[in-house]
Amino acid sequence: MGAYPASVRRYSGVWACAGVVALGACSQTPTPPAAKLFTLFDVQALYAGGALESEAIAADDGLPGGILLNLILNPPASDGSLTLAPRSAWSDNQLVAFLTTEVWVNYPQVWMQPVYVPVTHASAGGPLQFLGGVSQPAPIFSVGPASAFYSPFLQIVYAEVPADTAPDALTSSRQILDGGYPLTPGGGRTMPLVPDKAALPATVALPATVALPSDVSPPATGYLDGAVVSFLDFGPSTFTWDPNTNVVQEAAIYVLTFIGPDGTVLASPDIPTVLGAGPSGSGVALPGGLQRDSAYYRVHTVVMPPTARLFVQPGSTLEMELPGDLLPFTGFAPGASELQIAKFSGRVALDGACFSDPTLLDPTSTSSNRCIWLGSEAALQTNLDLSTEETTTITVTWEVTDLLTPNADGSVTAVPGPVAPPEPL
Amino acid sequence: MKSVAVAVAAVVLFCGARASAQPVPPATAAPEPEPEPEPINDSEGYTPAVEGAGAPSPLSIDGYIDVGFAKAQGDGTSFAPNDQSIPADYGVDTFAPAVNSRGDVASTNSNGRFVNGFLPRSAGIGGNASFLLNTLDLDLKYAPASAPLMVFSRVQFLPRFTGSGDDTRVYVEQAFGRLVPFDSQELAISAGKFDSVFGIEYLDNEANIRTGVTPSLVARYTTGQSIGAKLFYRLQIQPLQSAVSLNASATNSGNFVESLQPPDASLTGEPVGAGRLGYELNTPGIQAKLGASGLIGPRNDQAFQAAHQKAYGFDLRVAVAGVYLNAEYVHVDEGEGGPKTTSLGNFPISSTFNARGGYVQLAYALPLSVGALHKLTVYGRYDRRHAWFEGFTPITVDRFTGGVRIDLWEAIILKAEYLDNRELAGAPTVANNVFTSSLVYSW
Repeated sequence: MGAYPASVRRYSGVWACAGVVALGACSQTPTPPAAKLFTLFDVQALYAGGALESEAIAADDGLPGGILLNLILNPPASDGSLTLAPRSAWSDNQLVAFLTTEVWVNYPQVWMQPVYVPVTHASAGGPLQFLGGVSQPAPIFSVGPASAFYSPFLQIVYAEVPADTAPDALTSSRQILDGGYPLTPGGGRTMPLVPDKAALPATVALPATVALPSDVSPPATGYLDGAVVSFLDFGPSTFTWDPNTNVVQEAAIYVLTFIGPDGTVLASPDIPTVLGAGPSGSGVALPGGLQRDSAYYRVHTVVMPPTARLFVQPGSTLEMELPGDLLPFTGFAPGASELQIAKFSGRVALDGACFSDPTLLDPTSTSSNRCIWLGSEAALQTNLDLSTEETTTITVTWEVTDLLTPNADGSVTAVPGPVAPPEPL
Repeated sequence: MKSVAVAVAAVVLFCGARASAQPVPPATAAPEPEPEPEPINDSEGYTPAVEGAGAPSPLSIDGYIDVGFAKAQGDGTSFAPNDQSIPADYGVDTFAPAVNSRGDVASTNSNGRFVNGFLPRSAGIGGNASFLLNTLDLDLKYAPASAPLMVFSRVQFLPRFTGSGDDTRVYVEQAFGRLVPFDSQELAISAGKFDSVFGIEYLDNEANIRTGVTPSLVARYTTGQSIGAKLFYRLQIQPLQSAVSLNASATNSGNFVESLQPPDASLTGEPVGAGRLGYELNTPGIQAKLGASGLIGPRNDQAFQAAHQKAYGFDLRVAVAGVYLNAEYVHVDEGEGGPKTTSLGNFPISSTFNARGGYVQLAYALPLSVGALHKLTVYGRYDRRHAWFEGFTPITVDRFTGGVRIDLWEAIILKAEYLDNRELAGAPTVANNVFTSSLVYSW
């Protein structure tokens, strides 16, 4: 407060404002929100600065509670190593595991950036191969994670270099562009840069603990402005883009919320979200013929009707993790089989009354009282009044890594999605 | 390119008309330069007339026409044809291929690649050789004898090809009133839209004043006009043939050019402060001026007051025996802010940005009295700029500029120069050298 009482300070503020009125100051122009990008490096820095895993980013941007840090990265181990945090979601009624590597706030759009891969002819007229004859090239990134325009969505650009080029001679995009090499644009790949000590998770915990034999390779190394950087490769066909603008096309994810007795919007990251269908061409066939999911999503929230209930087995990990005010919105079908429990835990039924009989859990039941599960974008669109939907200003990179397939004994098996390695053209 | 330059210079030379020179550097028949006048607003272009007997009408109408001819290499931009990184304007120097005194470049066409507002104005000529009407300038000045007041306005008409047709922008570059409250003091208070107070290059903003054709690579940070209030004070120290001066302002946008920060409204509600502290030595044989400038306040291309911009710089001018040395160093830091708005439009992000750079210009003016030929000036300038947006590769560029200027009578200036732009680090090498020329009629 300084030496002046509050009233004097207020007046001084008025005079200060009056003094600059002539300069056009003290206007009442509304301030637009700032765009923010959170990468794994930012989350790592927040932890290093003393942030707790229960702290959230994007807390005031339309998603109740924001995105907790431990939903992106687990707290660092004593040796500084980091593990990405896996989560689960519903994709066309199929539970999948995914990772979060970037969060954008107030970005109307994000852009694909180029990444250069040197290739060469090992012999005159022979096929192209990666420089040095390696099977896994060291790509050359063009934009670093500190930039507001950093993107994990990359277009492979093959640079055909002379065969006698040393494998480590090209380490920057300027070298590629100045070299005048023939450049051939290739496909898109989701390849986020990651901190050096980042590792992939071994298990996903909810709704049940499942080992993750993901096919995503451990962090590999490439180059950025001459420096070695680490990255993850989630493979091709995980996004599409506007060829005229390089804007990455977004899909929707739906965070399911409930309205409490006092009107409060209740949400929990422990309730698996529902992934929308990606733009046409952004998926590849998974085992079983399913379409692979997009990696770029905008977060939407959808209020569940008062009758909706979350299927939760009493005493399960999921029940213990849920906030207490959400427990009234859970339900269970006594007598449900282990397979049913594994299959439906964490899924929301349109009307919890169907939990009265385990046979009604089966969505193929002929009973008119069967459960209508809200585990797909189509089910949400068909069964809900989506006027309650809220589109947030949050977009995320969610890389789906595994299908989580329930077994008859109640266990869950993770089936990794295919990650085709890069090909030298 | 060289043959084109010579041919155009010759054409321009032989197309010269009659009029009188605008002496910068000052044209005198004597080998020693006259003491350079230091008007209160620090710019010759709008110095008020002296009042008293024989004074001209209180209302005067001045101006100039700047007709150019320019040819840039490549497509007229600094964008590398094969580079697809985004934003296109973050990894190159879009201001490098300048073609006129306003700093307009041959082109800013990114061929659809996203840009984020770090752009100059464009002449829209791409890589074609083209004539240009760079500026039609109209100055009105009113200085009543009954009051220590001068009112000045400078309106400019700027015909440009936009890519989808012709468009002539009418731009109010300056409009201010200046009060000199004390006869005994060199103290002036101005309010309105006026020139920068930072450094020295703004003194050369206008084509009829600038020695050469194009501004330096750091002019974008120091030469912009803005709206606000300004105070100038100079104290003469006659025994030392010296003076010290202070030029300070509070404006909407500080001294960035309008294509980077809009001057016509404060987007943050908080003014930007800027000032220059100067020392000058005025002897019959040598003139020397030294200055230190600073700028601080919110960046006016976004709305957050906490997103600050800071700049400081140093400048030097020496004039001796017809040789003129100008040098300037500028250090700029901008913090991250909200969505960006410039005079060119809206852009999503105002990134953290840093720049360091400067220039050294050497000119020799040879006074002549051969018919219409009043003065011949040859000049060269070296610019260097190191800059980076957060997370992007820092880029270092430089430029060699060489040119010649011919003053005919009192109102015609012919200028021709060549810009050799080089990408030293970070930015991809591109063909963006420029030949440009300017024919300036003043009245």
